[in-house]
Amino acid sequence: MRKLSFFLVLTSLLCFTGWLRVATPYSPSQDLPLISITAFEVHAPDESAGQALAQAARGWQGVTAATYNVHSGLLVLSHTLDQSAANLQSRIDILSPQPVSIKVFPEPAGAKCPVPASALAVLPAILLGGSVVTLILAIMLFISNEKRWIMAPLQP
Amino acid sequence: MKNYLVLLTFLSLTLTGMSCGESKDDLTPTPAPNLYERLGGINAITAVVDQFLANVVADNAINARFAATVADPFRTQLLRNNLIDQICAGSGGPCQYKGKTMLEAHQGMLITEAEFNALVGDLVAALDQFNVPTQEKNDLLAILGPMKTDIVDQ
Repeated sequence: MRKLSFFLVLTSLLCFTGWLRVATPYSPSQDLPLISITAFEVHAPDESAGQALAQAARGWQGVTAATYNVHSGLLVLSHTLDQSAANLQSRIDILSPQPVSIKVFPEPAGAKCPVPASALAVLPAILLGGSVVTLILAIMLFISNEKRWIMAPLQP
Repeated sequence: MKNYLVLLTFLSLTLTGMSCGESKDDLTPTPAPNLYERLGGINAITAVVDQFLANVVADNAINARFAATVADPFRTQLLRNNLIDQICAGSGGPCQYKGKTMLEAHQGMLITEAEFNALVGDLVAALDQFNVPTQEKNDLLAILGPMKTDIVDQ
């Protein structure tokens, strides 16, 4: 039991140290809402039409940046995650004389990180949660042990 | 009654001391705002970085380099936060850059000078989009410029 308690406290400390390492020092960028970037292939008849689309998109709720590049023919929107690409596409379709499609970039060749970025993103929460849970378990184990020790002489 | 007088005296002395303190502070020259403050703080930097990333993704000269990042919202977020932290910290703001060094991050990527220049062009376009004054623009580019040697041909 003592070994288990010691192991739990050690795990809690390790998790807490890990969390401290990844979550600090604090930076204001941590509090910013998450964004996604979507590129649309718009077939604007001229540059001014494309720029007008970008200008209109800048005013939409959830769109944090918009640009139109005449050379690539791409209208790129940076937007918060509550705005889906499909929703934005339908809004652009209304303004664009021709149908708009979402640009899919080719998968780059070469080695890739085996750990998905989504797993790395939740790592601080897992570490902090693990630290709290193991500490609570250790305290509960300690209390139950103490209780048994105190109650033992009172047993008939 | 005596207690009230003592309290009144103490309060008046405290208030006098406070007002003296204020006048002393008024005489101290306020320090010139740093680049972070002149740029407009974290929200202004975030707006510029979002515009810069949009410009990069629309730019056929370099967008293939960012294909994997754009495809994954978490990687996008990581890049965005690193860029914000780097500009914020470099301009004297309350942030700390936690990403890799420029050399580590670009090792083996064989980025050409033309690609680097295209990236700088996209950043300048983002700064122009928000009418960032020339002085602030030059100050920011002067901070980022020395990184070129760690990025190009690595």
